[in-house]
Amino acid sequence: MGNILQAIIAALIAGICEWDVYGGFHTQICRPVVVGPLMGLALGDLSLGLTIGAGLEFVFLGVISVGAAIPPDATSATALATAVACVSNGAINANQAVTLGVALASVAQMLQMLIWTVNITWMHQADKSAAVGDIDGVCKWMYVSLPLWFLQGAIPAFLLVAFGQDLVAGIVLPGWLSDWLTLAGGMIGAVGFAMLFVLMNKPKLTPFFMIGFVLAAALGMGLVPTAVLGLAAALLYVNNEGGQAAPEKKRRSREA
Amino acid sequence: MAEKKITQSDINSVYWRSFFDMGCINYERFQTLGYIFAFQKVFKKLYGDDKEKMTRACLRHMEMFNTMPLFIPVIQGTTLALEEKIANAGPDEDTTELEDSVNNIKVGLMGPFAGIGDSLGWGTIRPIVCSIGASMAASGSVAGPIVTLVLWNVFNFAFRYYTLVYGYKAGTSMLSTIKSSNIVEKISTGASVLGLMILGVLTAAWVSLKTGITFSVTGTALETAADGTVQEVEKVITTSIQDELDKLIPGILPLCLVMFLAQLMKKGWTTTKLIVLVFGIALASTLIAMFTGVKIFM
Repeated sequence: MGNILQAIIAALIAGICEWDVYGGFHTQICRPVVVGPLMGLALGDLSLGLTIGAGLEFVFLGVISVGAAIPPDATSATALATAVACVSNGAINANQAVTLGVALASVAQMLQMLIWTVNITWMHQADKSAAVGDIDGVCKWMYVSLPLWFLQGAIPAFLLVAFGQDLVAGIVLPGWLSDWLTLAGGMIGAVGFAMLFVLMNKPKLTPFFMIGFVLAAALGMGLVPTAVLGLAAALLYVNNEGGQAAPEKKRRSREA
Repeated sequence: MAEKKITQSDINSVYWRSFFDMGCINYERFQTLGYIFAFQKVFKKLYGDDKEKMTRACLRHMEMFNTMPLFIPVIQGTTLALEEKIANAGPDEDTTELEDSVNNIKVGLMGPFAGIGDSLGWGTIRPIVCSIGASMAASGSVAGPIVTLVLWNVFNFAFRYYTLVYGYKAGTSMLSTIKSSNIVEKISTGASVLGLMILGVLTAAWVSLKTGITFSVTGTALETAADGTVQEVEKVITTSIQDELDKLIPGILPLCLVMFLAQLMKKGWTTTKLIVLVFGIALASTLIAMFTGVKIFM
């Protein structure tokens, strides 16, 4: 009975966060840094959720959706990875959960692609209403597609927490597998950072990256103080030199 | 016939409904349904008494539409201004030009705004806001996600509202105004400066990569014993490469990894390939450690 109640709460959180991706308001509660702690809170280990959420956030920091290229589903990945780590009673550590999450993101993405496809059906139905000027008939199809986003997040989470606990709790991984997943989980944030670097960097601006790196590496400066310095640097730079219009840059396409 | 005026209540209606822009996103027409959904109440007010105009309004908004969500309200503002004009046109006025311009503007603005929005909104501002929260969360602070949500949503809700009103008032001249001022460049550059500095900290602090390679040298050394005699003693000196690297500057290996991956990405490697590569490096290192005891990476 306890499992089912936990599963319902987990499903509600996962569903609502997933809904935020496409369903509305764009509040970013779908980001790993929010989903992780929420799931952790619901399943009894907030600090584990915070760590996993942060780790997965770093990986997916620079992942953006361009045109019809859907990015991997970081939300579902975080929800499920955090759930697995929490119900495993310490068998899966945070880094391993991050590795698992990265793999799950591509699987969950397929469910989203399914909804993108199914929604075409509703568009064709809406066309019929538009042809006779029935705007209510056109708009009602929005209410058909909105719940789909919720379900895409809620159902996998429910199934995992309700029925997967017995599989995962107390699981013992072979030594090499455990080491591999832990090491990979600690390194994988570099992919997200590399993506962001390619997105943001221009040769003139690279010194700022260097400054940030040295402040943290050699002086141990935290992110928030550095961010304040960064804001100051940005204002100084833009007001003194950086204000000229740069030549048109071709938009890069980010593919998963 | 009384003139139909767009009121604050109409603007609010479009504003709140605009948040469902991606609600029915699909491969065929993307954000089309979301766009017209925002106008459901307003169209009934403008065209409720004219079935023909309503039908034309519905049909013209069934065209494909796709851009970055933050920039949808500003385009909807221009649509609102045009639709108001069309609704108030008399029965013998020709509204063809106005009606065509609705879609011309949508198509003309959606491309540029997608480019600006993707790189500025999703590619710079959101990562900055999320990385601040993630750093705090990684240090164990539950304030992290809260900071992220507050920072983002103040921007999110305010930007969408004020650009909606701006679009409604500025109308069709907006694109040329934006292109002629370099405000976008300035914001983009400033955000990149901030973002790169934060990225430097993230690279140094949040990539776990060390090398466990050590080498030992056995040699002899002269040592003074407790009773005053000088003796030759065998000593083993173990040097850890990681310690030597840390003496130069901590975080060299994470920096190398990030720069290496960035180079590959510039050459066209996809995210998936890079993820597989990192997993592969980790696996190779783990297997080598298992068979030889040498921990290349840890």
